[in-house]
Amino acid sequence: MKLKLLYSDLKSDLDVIEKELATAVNSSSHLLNEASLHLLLAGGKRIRPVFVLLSAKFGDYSIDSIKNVAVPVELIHMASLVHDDVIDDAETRRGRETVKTQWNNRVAMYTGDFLFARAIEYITVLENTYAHEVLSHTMVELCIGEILQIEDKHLIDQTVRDYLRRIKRKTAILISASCALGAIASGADEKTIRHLKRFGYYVGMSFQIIDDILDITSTDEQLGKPAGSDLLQGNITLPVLYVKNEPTIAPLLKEMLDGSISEDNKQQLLTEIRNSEAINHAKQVSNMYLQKALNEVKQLPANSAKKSLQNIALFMSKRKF
Amino acid sequence: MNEALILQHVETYKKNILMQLQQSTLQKYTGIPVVDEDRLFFTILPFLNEEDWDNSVEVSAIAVSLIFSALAAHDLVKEENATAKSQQLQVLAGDYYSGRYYQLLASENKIDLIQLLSNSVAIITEHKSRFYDLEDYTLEELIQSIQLIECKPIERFLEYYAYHEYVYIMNEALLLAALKKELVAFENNEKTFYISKSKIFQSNMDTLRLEIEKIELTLVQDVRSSDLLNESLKDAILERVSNHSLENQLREG
Repeated sequence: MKLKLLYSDLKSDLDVIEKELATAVNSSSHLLNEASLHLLLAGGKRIRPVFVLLSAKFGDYSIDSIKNVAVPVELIHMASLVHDDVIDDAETRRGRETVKTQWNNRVAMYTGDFLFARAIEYITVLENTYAHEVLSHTMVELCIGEILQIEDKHLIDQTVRDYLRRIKRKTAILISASCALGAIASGADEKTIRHLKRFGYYVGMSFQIIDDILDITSTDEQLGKPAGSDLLQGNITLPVLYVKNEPTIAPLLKEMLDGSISEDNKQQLLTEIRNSEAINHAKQVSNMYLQKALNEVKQLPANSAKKSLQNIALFMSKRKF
Repeated sequence: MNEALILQHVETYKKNILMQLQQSTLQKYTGIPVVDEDRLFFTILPFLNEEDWDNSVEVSAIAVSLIFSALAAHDLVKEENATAKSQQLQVLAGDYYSGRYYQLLASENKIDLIQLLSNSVAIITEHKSRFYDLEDYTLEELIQSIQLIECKPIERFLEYYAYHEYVYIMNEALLLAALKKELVAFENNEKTFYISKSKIFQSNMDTLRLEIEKIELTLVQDVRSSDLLNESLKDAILERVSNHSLENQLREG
């Protein structure tokens, strides 16, 4: 089943979000317009707006008002991707040239800054201090997550705890904030906000672990980029942490992190990790977070959105690529 | 408020701003954040002129400076080959500082000011982009872009707190400082932010010089004859303007 089918009942509202995103990135600058539209057309799952909308169903739902939260979280996600592509020197994303490749790094910086600024401007329609505290905290934490990722690159001595701390900030926190903001903006009660915030956090953790597993287990075609590219960039992920000291893996891993690995050895390293218990072990950790997410859903008030949240969580944590 | 006290206040503000931006990894690889003292001086001009200035205004003034530090960090990212660790962290420094300004104002419940300032950041990025796109802009339009890039968040801040009378001086003084800095760097064959990217500037250097002289002359006259500013502050402003005098800078360069 495709992810979009799981939230097909939100289709008309997501169409509103899509139109609103196009309005939000509209600029008096020809160049920024082009760069932003380039990003919009690249598409994406729009999973963060979906979490905002579903979470808003636990309060007084109105697409006209909730779009002011759903649009900014997607803009923040888009902006961080544009800047990430500069950091990673990425040539393509989702099969299209990145902004930094099509123009240059500086234009990518301005495009990201423009999107961040528009996101903040957009959400100020919401006169709720707590919502702004949540979002601003999220933006700062996202950066700290990225900073940690750069700091931890090539560091073989890091722990599972370091990894979890990093992915919390890198991925889980924005999904958690999306859920919390949807609930806050619709006036849901505090207990519901708390459950949704935790749900988003757990789903985000589970999702990122699966993402890191897939980087190793998928083919280049499935990923749309070379398999193992995270590892090649020096990012040590959970499966790698579980097997980093295995005698058949340690020397190859060292070569990989030194950047001296041959293509044959790289394939051998990926095969060794794929065939090890590390993948299953990492899947178990992802599953543990998924179960925690599902437990949070159980505690939410009865509502049609409960089932959708549950299904999306299951889909995101069980996906094959 | 005498000259020494003015300098002391600017220094104190600068310390407070840097405190807000402290992040050990960023500091290690990207150095101390850029805090432009001229911009800071003109942001707190009403305070230096002994206007009413409470804690909320002070926090907002700091937030305005954080915005400029964020934008300055991103201006330090190279157009090509930004793969060094220090460059990667420069990208994140800008995003981090930007998040800090939002966080600071959110904690003060200044949602309407956040709206004004984030809109001003969007405007700045639009005008910076003018120096990278292929559209034809006139010299006047580009000078206006520079003024917006240099001043817009400060203008919004001053207007928000009803310090309207200070907007004109701030706008002209910061435009003047930016243009002079550009011209001097260009004439010394150093890197420039605006001129090197614009053929219009390069083919109209004499007009640019005249424009700078005109702005300076008018600004000096207006400051001297101002009923708004106290005498020490007038001296401090004129001192800043003359520190940027083209002749001085060229001689130093």
